[in-house]
Amino acid sequence: MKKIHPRQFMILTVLYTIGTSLLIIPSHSAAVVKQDAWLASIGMSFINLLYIVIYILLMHRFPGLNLVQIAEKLLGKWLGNVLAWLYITFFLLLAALLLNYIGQFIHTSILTSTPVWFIYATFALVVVIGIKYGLEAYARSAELFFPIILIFLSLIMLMLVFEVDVSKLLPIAEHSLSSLFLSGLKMSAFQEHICLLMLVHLVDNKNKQTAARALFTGSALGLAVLFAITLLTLLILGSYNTGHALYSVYVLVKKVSIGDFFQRIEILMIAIWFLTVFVKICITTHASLIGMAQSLKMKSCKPLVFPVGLLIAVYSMFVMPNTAAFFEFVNVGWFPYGLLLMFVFPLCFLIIDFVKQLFSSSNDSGASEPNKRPYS
Amino acid sequence: MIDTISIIVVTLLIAVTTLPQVLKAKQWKDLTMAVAILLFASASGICYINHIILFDPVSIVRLIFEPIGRSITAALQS
Repeated sequence: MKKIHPRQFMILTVLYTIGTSLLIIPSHSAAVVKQDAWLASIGMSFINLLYIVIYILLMHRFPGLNLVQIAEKLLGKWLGNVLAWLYITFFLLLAALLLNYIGQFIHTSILTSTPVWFIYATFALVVVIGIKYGLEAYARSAELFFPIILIFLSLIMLMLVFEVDVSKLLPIAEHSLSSLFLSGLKMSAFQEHICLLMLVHLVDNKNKQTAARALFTGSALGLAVLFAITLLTLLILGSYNTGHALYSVYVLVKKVSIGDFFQRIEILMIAIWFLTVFVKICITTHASLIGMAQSLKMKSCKPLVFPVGLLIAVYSMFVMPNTAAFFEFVNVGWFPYGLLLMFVFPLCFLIIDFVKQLFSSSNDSGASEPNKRPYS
Repeated sequence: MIDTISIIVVTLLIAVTTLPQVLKAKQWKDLTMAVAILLFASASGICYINHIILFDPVSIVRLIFEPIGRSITAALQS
């Protein structure tokens, strides 16, 4: 099995973190906490980093194992499999939702006359081809895209700096701490880093460069980009426009105009978004395929790639009727679901492992063999 | 009608490109799973085209998690 370099894993993590959140986060948070959305974005980053710390602890406790294998090892075959299928369905639903979201965006903003099913089918085909070639192939393509994405993002941010109006952030911290925390908690459910825990066994750890370090660095970088974009959107569009526009970042980038000749660069943002969402859907679908293959003890997940691709494409057509319904769903329904699978279950895994270790060490007290898996 | 036929054609195309290799390798479990997912996806697509929702995962998530989401929101906003 070919493995990827931790650097590639870090790049995948950055792109995964930016993914759909780039368009969702500013509007979603500004709609609730208005001009304090940037504070909620800081809260979101801390909550997400807390999740990452839990994942890293799990990775340290179970080196070389992915989420499904950890669940099976900790909870036994039956309960482990039940949890594995909960995660698999979560990943499949997430992939369908992501495809639906990008399809709706393209259909309403760019290709208004193109049938939406055609957009879903085309994007699903690209994703399926990416997965068919394997993690190594799409990790390399992500590595190639990464500098382009960075250049485009820096260019956009640099050109937007001229439009900044600091007064749009006032009054600062008008909302209560609990409201900011709630907004941060809701937004933290958009960065489903748990999917990356399904790929960690495919990362080739080299001395200090490990999957855990790559996961943390990548997430921190991605979250920093999200914070910067949220802040810029608020500083330029103001909280009202940010909260009321469906795709506020897209509206923001349309405002770039230097000397009346350098304008309409929103295509750069669309390019960034396509590339990051491609990586996000690839990883999410791949995570579900790996989970299926492992829980069913299959030799390879390759025979399932095209059938699952068709399943996701079909479900993306009716999983959400429009973007407004998507926002309403993620606001109330998605975040407790995400919280359960991204935070509560991994935390329970850690606690169960700790208790198990505690019992095994008390049973073996006085035994000469040292603990092979120290908790620290 | 044309939509239903296109889904059947896509399903057949996937079956022709994917299944022979699995069949040749005699990986029965892989074959069963691939056929099951393919048939389910195809049936869901055909039903959707004919305005029937075979299985809607979002409504299940809504049913279970929306009350929890509302109570968390209410607790933190009060």
